[in-house]
Amino acid sequence: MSTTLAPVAPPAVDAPGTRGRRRVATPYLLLIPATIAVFATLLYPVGRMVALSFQRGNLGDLVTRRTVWVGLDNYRSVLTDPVFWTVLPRTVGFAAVCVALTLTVATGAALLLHHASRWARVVLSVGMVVAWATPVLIGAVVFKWLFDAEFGVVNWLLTESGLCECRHRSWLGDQWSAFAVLVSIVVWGAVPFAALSIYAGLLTVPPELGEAARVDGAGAYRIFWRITFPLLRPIYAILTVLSVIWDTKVFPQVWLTTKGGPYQGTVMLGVYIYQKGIVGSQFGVASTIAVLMTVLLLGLSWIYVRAMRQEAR
Amino acid sequence: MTRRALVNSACVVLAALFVLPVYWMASTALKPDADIVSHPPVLVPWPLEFGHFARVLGDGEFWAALRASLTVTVTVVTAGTLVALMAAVALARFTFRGRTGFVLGLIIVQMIPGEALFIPFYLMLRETHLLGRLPGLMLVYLSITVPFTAWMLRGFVASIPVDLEEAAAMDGATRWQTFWRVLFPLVAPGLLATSIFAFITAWTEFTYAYVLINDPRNYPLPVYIQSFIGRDDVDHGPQMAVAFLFTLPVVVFFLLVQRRAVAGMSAGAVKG
Repeated sequence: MSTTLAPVAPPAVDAPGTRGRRRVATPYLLLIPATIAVFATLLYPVGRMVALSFQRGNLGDLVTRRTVWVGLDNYRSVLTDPVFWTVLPRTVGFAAVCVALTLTVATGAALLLHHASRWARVVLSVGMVVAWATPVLIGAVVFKWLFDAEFGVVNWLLTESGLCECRHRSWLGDQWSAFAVLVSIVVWGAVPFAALSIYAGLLTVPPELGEAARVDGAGAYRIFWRITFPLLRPIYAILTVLSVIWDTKVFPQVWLTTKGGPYQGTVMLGVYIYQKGIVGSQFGVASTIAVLMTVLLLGLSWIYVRAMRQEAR
Repeated sequence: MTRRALVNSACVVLAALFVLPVYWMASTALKPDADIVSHPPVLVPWPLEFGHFARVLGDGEFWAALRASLTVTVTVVTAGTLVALMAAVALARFTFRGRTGFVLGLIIVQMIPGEALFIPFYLMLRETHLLGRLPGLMLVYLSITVPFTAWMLRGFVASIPVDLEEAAAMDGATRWQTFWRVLFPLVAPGLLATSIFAFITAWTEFTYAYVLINDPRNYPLPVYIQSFIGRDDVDHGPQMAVAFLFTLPVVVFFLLVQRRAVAGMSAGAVKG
C-alpha cells in the first residue's frame, strides 16, 4: 500500500441501532461488488501464488499451459540458495536501520515543533508536509539526481562545506553509499508522517505532568523517558510496526535508483522476486520467495493488529 | 542565543532539509540546459526558463501518459468509492450471517504485501489478455483500495445515529429517500476522505504499473517518468518538469487536508 497518506482510522464502533428485521438479502447484495473486488482480484492471486510455489512454473510450462507439481522443491532450492540468505537479512537490516532512524529523527522533529514559536512551527510543518506529499517514485527520481556523480548538488554542497572532497563521488557505484542513499530516501519520506503523529500525541500530554516533574528536579531527558514516552507508547507501537511493513517493501526506491546494483549489492526481497519472476521467468521460484515474504509481513502485521486492538479497548 | 531561538533555528534548518529535494526538482525544471549541468551548480534559477515545461507539454507521450493516469485514477476513485460505500452500509447497518468474517477478511487482505503479488497478477493479466492494458491495472488498484476504503467508510456510517434514518422512515420516506436525503449528506466527509486516499494510491502507485503495463502507448505517468531513466543520457530538465507537474496536485491536496489527517490518526491512536 502507498506510504503517502496516513491511514485515518475512524472510530470503529458498531451502530447501536443495527436491526435484524430488514430484508435478509439486502446486505448480501450490497456486498457483492466488494466481494468480487477483494476475492477475485486479491484472494485468487494469493491462492495462485501459493499454488505456483509448489509448481515448476517456468516459461515453457506457461506457454504450453502445463502444470508440473514439484512438491517442496522450490522451497528447498530457495532456502538453500546463498543469494536468498544475503537478500533476506539485507532486507531486514535495511528496514531496521530505516525504522530506527525514522523514529529518532521524527521524535526530534516533534519535540522541536512542540517547543518552537508559532512561525517556526508553521515553517517546519509545511516543509514536512511537502516532503510527505511527494510520491515515493518522485522522491527516488529526485534523490538520484541530487546524488548525481557529476552534477549532483549533494557532491557540491559536501565539497564546498569542506566535509569531504566529493567532486566526482559516485554514490550509487558503491554498495554501502548506495545503501546510505536508499536509507535517506526512505527516512526523508517517512519522517514527516511519524513526526506529525508524535507531535499530535505530544499535544495530548497534560503540561502539568511535566511541570510537576520539573519542580521535583527532573531534567528534560528524564521527563521525556519517564512521562512523555510512556504516554505516547501506543503511537510509537503503531508507527514502529507500520514503518517496518513499509520499509520492507521498497521496490520503487531501489528500482528507480540502483536497480539492485552495484553488483546486486542492494537487491532486496521485492527486487529479488521481480528479477527471478518477471525478468528470469522462474515463476515458481519467485512465488516461493513471495510466499516467504508474505509470511514474514503477515507476522509483523499480526503484531500491528494486536496493538490496534489493545488501543481500541 | 536563547533556548527558544535555538529551537526556532533548528526548525528552519530541518525544514530546509525536507524541502531541498523538492526545491531542487523545481529549480532544475526551471533552468536552461546549460545551467543544469554546470560547475558550480546554479542555485537559483534566474531568469526563469519555461522551455522544459513547454517541451513536456508539447510532447504527445506526456499527454498520452496523463490521459492514461487520469483514466485509471478517475475510474478507480469513482468505482472504488461506490463499491466501498455499498459494503460499508451493509456492514454498519445490517446484522447478517458472516458479517464479522467479512470485516476480518477486509483487515487481513490489507496486510498482503503488494510486492509479493505481482507474479500472480502478471500471470493472470497475461492469460486474460489484459497485460499492458489499463483495465487490468484498474482492477488491481480496486482490489488494493476497496478493502481499506470499505473498512474506513464503515466507521463513518456507523458513527451516524441510526435514529435519524428511523425518524425519516417514520415520516414516510422510502429506503432510497432515507439513504439519499439523510445518510448520504452526513457521510459525505467520509466519502471525501476515502476518495482522496483512493486518488493518491491510484495516482502515485509505481510497482504494479511498472510490472503490468509494458506497452509504451499505455504508460501511466509513473512509468512514463521512469522511462527517462533508461535513456543513455538522462534528460534532467524535462524529467524534473514532469516530476513537478506530477507532484503538484498531491502537494496541494496534502497542504489542504494534513491537519485533519493527522488529527484523525492521533485520535485513533491515543484514545482508549
